[in-house]
Amino acid sequence: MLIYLSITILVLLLLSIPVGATLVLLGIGVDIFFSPFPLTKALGQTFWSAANSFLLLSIPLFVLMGQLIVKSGVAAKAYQTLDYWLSWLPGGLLHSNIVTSTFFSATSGSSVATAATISTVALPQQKALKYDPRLFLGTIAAGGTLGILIPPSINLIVYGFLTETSIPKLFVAGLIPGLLLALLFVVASAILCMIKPELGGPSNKTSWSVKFRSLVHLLPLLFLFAMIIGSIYLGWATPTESASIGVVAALLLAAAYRQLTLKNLLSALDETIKTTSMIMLIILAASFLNFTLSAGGISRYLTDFITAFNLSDFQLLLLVLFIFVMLGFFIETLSLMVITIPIVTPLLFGVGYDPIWFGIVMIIFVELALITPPVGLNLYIVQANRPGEPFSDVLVGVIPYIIVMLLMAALLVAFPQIALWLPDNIQ
Amino acid sequence: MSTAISRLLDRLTELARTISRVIAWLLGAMLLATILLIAVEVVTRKLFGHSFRFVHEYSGYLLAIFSAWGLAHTLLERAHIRIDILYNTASLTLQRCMDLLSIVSMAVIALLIAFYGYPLLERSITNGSLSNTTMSTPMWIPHLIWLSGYVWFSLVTLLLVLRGLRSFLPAYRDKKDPLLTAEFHAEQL
Repeated sequence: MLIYLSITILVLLLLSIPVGATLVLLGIGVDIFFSPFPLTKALGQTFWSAANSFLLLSIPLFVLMGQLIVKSGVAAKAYQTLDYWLSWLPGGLLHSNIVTSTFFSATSGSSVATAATISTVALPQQKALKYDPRLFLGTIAAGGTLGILIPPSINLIVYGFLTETSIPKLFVAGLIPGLLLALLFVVASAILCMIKPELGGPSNKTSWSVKFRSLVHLLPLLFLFAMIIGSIYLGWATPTESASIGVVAALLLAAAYRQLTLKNLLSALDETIKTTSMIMLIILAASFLNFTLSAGGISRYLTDFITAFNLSDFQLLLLVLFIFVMLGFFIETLSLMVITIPIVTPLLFGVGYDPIWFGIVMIIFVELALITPPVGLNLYIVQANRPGEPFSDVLVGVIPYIIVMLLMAALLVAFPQIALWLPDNIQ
Repeated sequence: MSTAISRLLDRLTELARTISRVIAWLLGAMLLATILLIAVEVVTRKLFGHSFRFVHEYSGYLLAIFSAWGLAHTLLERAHIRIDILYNTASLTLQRCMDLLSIVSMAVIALLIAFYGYPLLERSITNGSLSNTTMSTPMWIPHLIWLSGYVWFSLVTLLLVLRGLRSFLPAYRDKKDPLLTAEFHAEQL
């Protein structure tokens, strides 16, 4: 069954069959070849009951909130502020790229949206101030990936839904690793620019009065983040309810920046519907596959596999992470998550790995998949804003940050408390 | 295929696109209304201890309906994820085959979901099922709206299957059908 699964998944995906269809067909295959009972009959029931979910409604809401914030234009103002505060560091604007991504991530559940927004505000500066493109682009592509680690995060909602793990706990668990990773990005950029100053750009000095006056532009993002995450932790609201409040606040924010036009609202809604339908089809298909796999006795096959190779718990974890890296080269991130979760999580949870901790580790590898070629969405997002220039600039630029992410993953494996301390102590 | 049939196919696709787009606007309006209701519900619950229970139940139905009715619009805007790594290196004919295979697989799952979804509707009508809440919603209403979304999606996929077949005709040999290709377009993101 494991061989059937791996080969069929790869063949169907490589034939460019849409991911949602691939997963449903795979589930039907499990029914035909491995199950004594008819399972496909449950297709309608699964699609209805998995979609009739108040929890998953948070997905369109977080998508819409992110869209509205993008359209409000607050990112450009925040970028300017962080430029005033951080550009004295070796590497100049590189740090504003990373830290603006961090702020933006805290109000956006998507890495792609984060990278797209930061590229549109940052790239004109790279040209104007004659920065070396490579590291500059690397900071945007890598900084953008923080969107799914720092809460709110659509990918953590999907993980929580498929593994039945608490989403508030996952959100809070992502916070320290997210900030730590951002800090490591900043430190790595500064070190690189101290060794080779030509990698960065001019450092700027700004007067303190300008610095303090500019801080006002960070307030909307901080306020929104505090409201969303705060209302979940104070027990006032579920993730879906806090996302609704977030959308209302984002509407007010867009209105305050005079960007709440009918055109902007319609295009935000249109994006939300497309993104949500795409994600929901994949999630529902994954729920169906999940159901056929457990009914078809996947756990028995997996246990046999482990006994046959006599893997220790740690070797098993390394094997899973290695598979993530390999698949991450070729497979888009949401698909990477939904095709691996039903197979690897029962194994890892079975031998005692913590579901919350593993969710965060998995997100780091999903982030890595976003910036590893040939299929790394963030690389293309950044490149899309500079047509006609060499793509290799982006590819070279992300290398230092890939190393930093692997370091971060190693830290999480060595010290699980980085992720678990906050959720354990906040209750 | 004669040009008249081909022109009819184009006109039907245009019609399907328009209908799907209007439905998407409706879904958007429903989503905004739901968001406002949920936000108001949280505030009144916090301040006055008063809760509208129906909000929770109906927003669940909304997502189910959303996930069915948004599919056609998403398909016509080519926003469903396909892995294009081999696709991009394939020849035009091969790409056409992959496009056809993709849309056929979408049609197959759409029809299967609609087919196996029907018993849900049938049971809720014959048993007169009510929701397990204070609202006692007759379940056939959300089931019917949800299922019709998949029926609409099936119809649209079948239309696109026809277009996929048409792309092999000599008259269409030089270009790919823009509604079926998996090519990456940055401006869509």
